[in-house]
Amino acid sequence: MNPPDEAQPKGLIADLSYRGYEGPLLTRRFRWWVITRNEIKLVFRDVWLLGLLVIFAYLIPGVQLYLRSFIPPEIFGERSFASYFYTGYSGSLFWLFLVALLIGAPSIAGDNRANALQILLAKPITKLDYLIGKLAAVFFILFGMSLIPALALYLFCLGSFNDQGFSKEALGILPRIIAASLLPAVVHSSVAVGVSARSKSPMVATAVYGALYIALSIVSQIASNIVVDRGGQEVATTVMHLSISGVLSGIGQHIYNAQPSFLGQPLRIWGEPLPRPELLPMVALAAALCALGITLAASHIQAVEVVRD
Amino acid sequence: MSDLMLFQTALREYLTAKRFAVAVVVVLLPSLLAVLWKYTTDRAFFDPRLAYDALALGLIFGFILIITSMLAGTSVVSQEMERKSIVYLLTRPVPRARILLARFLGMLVPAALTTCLSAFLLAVTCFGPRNLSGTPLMRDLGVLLIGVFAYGSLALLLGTLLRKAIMYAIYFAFGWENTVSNLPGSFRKISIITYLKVLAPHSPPSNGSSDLIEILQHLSPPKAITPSSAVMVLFAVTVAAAALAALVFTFREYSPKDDAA
Amino acid sequence: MISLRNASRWYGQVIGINDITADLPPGLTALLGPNGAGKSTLIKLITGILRPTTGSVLVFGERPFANTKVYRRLGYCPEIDGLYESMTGREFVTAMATVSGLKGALLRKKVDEAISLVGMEAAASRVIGGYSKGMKQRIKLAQAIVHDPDVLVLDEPLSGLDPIGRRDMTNLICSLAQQGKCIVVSSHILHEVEQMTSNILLLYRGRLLASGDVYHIRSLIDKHPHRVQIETSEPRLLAAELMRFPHVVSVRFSDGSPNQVEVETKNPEAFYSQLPDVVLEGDFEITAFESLDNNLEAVFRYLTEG
Repeated sequence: MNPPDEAQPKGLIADLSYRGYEGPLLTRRFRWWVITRNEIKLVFRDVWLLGLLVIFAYLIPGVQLYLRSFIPPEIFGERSFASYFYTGYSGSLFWLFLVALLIGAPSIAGDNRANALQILLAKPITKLDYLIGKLAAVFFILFGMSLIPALALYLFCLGSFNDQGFSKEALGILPRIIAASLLPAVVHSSVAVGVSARSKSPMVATAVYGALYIALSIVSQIASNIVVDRGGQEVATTVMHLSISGVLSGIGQHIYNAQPSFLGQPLRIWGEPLPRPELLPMVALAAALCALGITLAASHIQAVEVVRD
Repeated sequence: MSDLMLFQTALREYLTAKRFAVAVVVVLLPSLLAVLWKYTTDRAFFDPRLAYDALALGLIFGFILIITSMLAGTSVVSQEMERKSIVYLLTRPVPRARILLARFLGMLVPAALTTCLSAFLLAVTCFGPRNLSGTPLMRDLGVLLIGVFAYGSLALLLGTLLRKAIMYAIYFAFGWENTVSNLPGSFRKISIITYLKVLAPHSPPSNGSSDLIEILQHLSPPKAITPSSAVMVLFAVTVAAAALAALVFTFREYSPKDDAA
Repeated sequence: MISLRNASRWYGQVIGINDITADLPPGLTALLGPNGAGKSTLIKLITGILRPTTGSVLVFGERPFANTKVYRRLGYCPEIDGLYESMTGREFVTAMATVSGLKGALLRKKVDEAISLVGMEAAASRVIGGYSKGMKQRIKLAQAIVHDPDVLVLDEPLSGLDPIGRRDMTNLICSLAQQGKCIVVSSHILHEVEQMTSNILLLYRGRLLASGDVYHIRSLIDKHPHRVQIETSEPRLLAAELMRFPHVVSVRFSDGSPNQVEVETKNPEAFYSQLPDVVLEGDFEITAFESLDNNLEAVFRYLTEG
């Protein structure tokens, strides 16, 4: 729209100056934060229970650590403290997936269903503000749910096991906790919001994201069994982790320098302890998933849908 | 006529271009993986039965069957509530139970077709089109149909009871079913997939199972379930869930929220 | 046809409607009330989507909830825009008509008639997803009338329609009422409701404030004397004559119009019967005469705002 022209007539009908808005966007400095804050307020009461289950996932290694202090190390072998944090992290992944399903998948789809984008995008915010706002809402919730229980476990270890070797690892574990908490938050928020932007139905978006998450996991498992004979166990392990859940688990193993285990023993598959997957393919896939999700979301945010007969 | 119209309107919701495209991808996925398997393995070492079993167990029974049935079952009521078109159905001179069941069947047909077609194409890819006799295809098609009805009925019940039924359905299907079916002792009897596996046993890839599951199985060996009891249980679950869903739908109030209110 | 006896409905701690007793006979009844008055709740009770928490709601002498006998003779046009967006308008109306029990040649005939009545012949073959709000409103009405119901419940039927569309819809609703159907119309557009009917059901905060003929209701509202505006060349003389009547409460002269006098009277019938004699005796020339608040809007305002 052009700014008001001095030469235009000032009559009631001909004056279109009210329709043009090319002036400064005089709203909040961080417009996206308005979207984020409202979204968090709306969805928090739906997910707080799942947050408790994430805490429960970190309770298990806490109990293991507590029992460890009574049991001689020869029984279950030496394990680094970081590996216990990995146990909590890997146990929390399923619940974080459910949270992403509950709040991430319906986020933009719900606005599409209610035609809210027509109103939102008529305000002085840009599509980018809207997109960042939605992404940030899901990100902050997932990050918080992942970080807080891990920090609680950290403080527990700091208070109880400092003299049992935790002090040596304490400084190194803190940045690992932050990195491991960021990872599922970034990946889930990008992919879930990307799927959500493509749908007008929150229910369908939820189903699609859930199906995608689970299907990739199953397909990668099957593909790993296909390639194990040719490529060897290491390649097969990397292939096994080429899914959303696999990427989160695989990169988590590198972050915590740990391996999946059960009752203190390394998890075995194909008759041998499961090796760690290659980091580069994991990171590349995570980056690709995030980029794809954000691109999908950015290209599908629109105020009006054109319906073709 | 009314029932047929309700069936048709439910069926045509799946015939949109988007959903059809997704269905095609889902149908072809196991076959594509089978092709990958075939061409990455030496011909002499390629075991079509092993490939079929692994893909049928992991992808068709473990994913496609469950996700399509759950989506179909929960959509019967949830989609109408979300779209706020349920008032048109509730104010028609057709008993509510019939409305529910007619729509349910309409939703289930594409789910059954998708699942069975994916199994058929997988078998053709693994065994070849001329070698299908002597394969477990016919058995699997029958069991898949039973599974579609069983999972679909449970999802239907969830849809009549709960607001965000798809969430609970996904949690049940991929959380509960995967966990409980691997628990020791008789716990696994409270999962549907256990009975389907009895009716359509597939050998998992010998390298693929993890020690974790083996440890759990060794803790308490599972007691045998006979095929006849598996059929009875699945039939009972289907009928009970569908009947309960019809009862709930008949007496419960379904009023979509007014956005303006 | 529709009978409510001490019907109440609440949602947890929130009261939707409270102890409503009313009978809705054949003809057109307007359901009025501000936002949150309970109109939607009442409509949902009549259409059997909800059940009353206490009391009873009967349609054709039966409870409407999940009652196929009632639905055979009831048509409902909801306010919310939930439609099957991938269907064409004709397919949607045909589907609803089929589920209502119509078939064969009669089905096609009734569908064509309904679509024609609502003025959607040109757009019936287009998908509903591409309809404007007004077109969706018309197609909703078509599905409500296609099976020729005896009771029609219309929730904001004029919403989204252009002025010509509103006029056509008003005429259609009135003609259906004249056929002996019982029609309940919920609307906020008071002056258009007034053109349709004078029979109202006024709700406020879940309670029934008034039911019946709007003019009769108005005459019962003692707190607000009737206001009548008269334009004459001798307003002060006329005012002096009118002040002699005991039922005349006040007279007021308008600053903007020097020939106008506004009279407030507690007994409008007596006023109207005595006014001609006063005018003739005083040889007053009356150029305009208007009753300012003997209308639906005034009744609505007086009853809801006090």
